[in-house]
Amino acid sequence: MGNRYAYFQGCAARQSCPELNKSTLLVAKRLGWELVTLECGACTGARDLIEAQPEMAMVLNARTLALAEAQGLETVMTVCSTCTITLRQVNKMLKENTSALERSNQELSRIGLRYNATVEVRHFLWVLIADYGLDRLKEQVKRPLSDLSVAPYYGCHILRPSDVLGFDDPDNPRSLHNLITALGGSPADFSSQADCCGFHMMTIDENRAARHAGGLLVDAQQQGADVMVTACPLCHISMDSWQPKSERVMKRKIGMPVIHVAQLVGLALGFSPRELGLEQHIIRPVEIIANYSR
Amino acid sequence: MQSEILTVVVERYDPERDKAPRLVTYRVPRQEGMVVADVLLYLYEHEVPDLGFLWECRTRRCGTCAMRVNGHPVLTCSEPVREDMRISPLEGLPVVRDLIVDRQELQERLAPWAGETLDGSGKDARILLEPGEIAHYRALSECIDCFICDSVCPALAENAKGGPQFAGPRRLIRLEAQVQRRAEPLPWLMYAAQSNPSLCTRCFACTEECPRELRPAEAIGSLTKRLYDRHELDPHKTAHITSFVRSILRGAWLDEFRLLVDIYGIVGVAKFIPQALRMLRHRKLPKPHFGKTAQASDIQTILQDLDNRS
Repeated sequence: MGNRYAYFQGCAARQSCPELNKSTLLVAKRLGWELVTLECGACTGARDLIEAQPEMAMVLNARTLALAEAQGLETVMTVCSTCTITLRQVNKMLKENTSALERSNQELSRIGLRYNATVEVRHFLWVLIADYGLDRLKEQVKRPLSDLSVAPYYGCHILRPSDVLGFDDPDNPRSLHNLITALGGSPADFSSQADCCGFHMMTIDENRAARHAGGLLVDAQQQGADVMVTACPLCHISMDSWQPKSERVMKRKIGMPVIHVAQLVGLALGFSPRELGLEQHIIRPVEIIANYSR
Repeated sequence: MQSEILTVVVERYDPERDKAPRLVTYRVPRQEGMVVADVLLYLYEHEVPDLGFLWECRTRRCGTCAMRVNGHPVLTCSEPVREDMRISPLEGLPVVRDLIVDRQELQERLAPWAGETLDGSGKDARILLEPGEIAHYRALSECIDCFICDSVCPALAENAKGGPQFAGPRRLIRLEAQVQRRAEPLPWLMYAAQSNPSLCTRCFACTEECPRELRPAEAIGSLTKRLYDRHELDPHKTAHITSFVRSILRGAWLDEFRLLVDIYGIVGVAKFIPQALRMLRHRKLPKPHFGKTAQASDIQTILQDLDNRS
C-alpha cells in the first residue's frame, strides 16, 4: 500500500471548518503522506441527493471517483463521515451493479471520463490506523497527551450501516479509543459515543437538534472528559458551532470543547494549537491552548 | 473453554415496588445450542416464577421476544447465549415489568390507516406487482413488529421532549410497503408526510439493528424521494434538497451560506446573525459563492438530464 492518496476535503472543511483542512494537511505532511487534493471534485450531495435524486448522486460521485482513478490513485481519503458513507455507498453500487456503472460511464463519457471501479474510499482515521499503523504513529509522538481525558465521539456515518462502512464495530467501536491511547491520552468512555449528533435534522427542527447534541456533550462531560474528539465536521458543527444554541435550549452551561481527529494527532506530533487552528473553535479549548502552547 | 454454568444478570423492575430497575444475578446450567430465551424459560420454570418476559413463536417470526443483551437489541429466541450476559428490556419504550415493554402507544400510531383500502371505493386497491418488484415488496412487508428499530431510533426518543412528532422507522417502513403496492398511493403518501420523515436523523441505527435486515432507513429515504417528486415533502427539507442541487450545478460544492437563505429566506435568516458574528470572529464564516467554478460546466453536462424536478 502506497502513501499517495486522493484527498477529498468535502464542503465543510472548505467552508465552516477550515481548521479541519489545515490540520489534516499538516499531519499528512508530517507523516510523509502525499495528498493529491481533488480540487475539481464536487460535493457528494450528502443524504439529500442520494435520497431525492439517486441517479444524479450516482453520476456525480462516479465523476469524483473517476477523477481519482484517472490520476492513478487507489484511495480517496475523506475527512467527513457523511462524505465517507455517501461515496462508499455509490462506489459499492458501481462495483456490484454493472448496469449502474454503465449508466454512469455513459454520462461521464460526455466529459471524457470513465470509471473502472478500482478506487477505494476511506476515512482519514482508517488510513491512519490501517495504512500508517498506530505503532509507527506512537514513534512519532513528540508530546504525549498524558494529561488529557478525551471523549471519543464516533457518531453514525463512520459506523453504520456496517455493510457499507465496515471498519469498526458499530456496537463497540474502538478505533478512536485506540488512537487516543496511542497518542498517550486517556479515552473517556461515554454511553452516547456512537449515537447520532442530530446534524441532519438541524434545519428541520433546530431546537430538537440542539437539545439532542447538548445531551451527548453533557454525557461526555459527566464522564470527566476534558475534550471531545470527532471524526466528522458535521458532528463538529452540531456540537461546537451550535453549542451555544444547545446551552440556550437546555438552559445550562456546557462549555465542552470539541476538536477534530487531525487536531488531536497534530497536538501529539508537536504542532502548536495555533498551527492546528484550535483557537478557531466556537468553544475554545482554553486549557489545551494554554498547556500546549508552551 | 466454555463454563458449564452461565452467569446471567437480569434487569428486574416492578413499577409498584421499585423506584429504579434492580440488577439480579442468576446462575443457569448451560445446555447445547442454548439461546437467550431458553435461559429466561429456565429461570421462570426453576427459580424465578414471577419473572416478567414475553415470547411466542420461537422461530423469529413474531418479534415478541425482542430484548437487549449486553445493550444490544436482539430476538432472544435465536440469540446464542454467551458468558456474562446482561439481559434488559428494549430501550425507549416504557417498562411494564421486568423485561416486558409497553408497545401500545407505538402500536396505536398505525391505527389511522391499518386495514384501510383508502381508495374511496371500499374495494381493495392493491395492484399486481411485476416479478421484479415482488421481492422488494415482500422484504418490506416482512416486518415482524419486534419494535427493535423504534427502540434504537434517536428521533423517536426526542418526541417525548415535545415539538413535531416523528412516527418512527417501523411505521414508515410499513407505509413504504403500502405505497409500493397501491394503484393510487397518494393517501398513503399523505400518511407518510404526516409522519414527519424529515425528522429522521439518517443515523442508520434501525438498518443496522433490524433482525430481518429490512433496511428501514433506506425505506424512509425512498418515501422522502416519493414525497419530494410529488412536491409533498415539508418545505424546509424540500428547500434543503433543492439548494444542494442548485449549489452543485452552479459551483460543484455546497454553498453553505446560500443553503440557509434558501431554507429560511432573506428575512428568516436574520435570526442567525449572532451565530454568524460568532463564526466571523472565529474566522469560519462560510462565504457565499460567486460565479461558476471551473468544473461547473462538466457537472452540468453530466447531470442536467437527470434532474427529475427540472
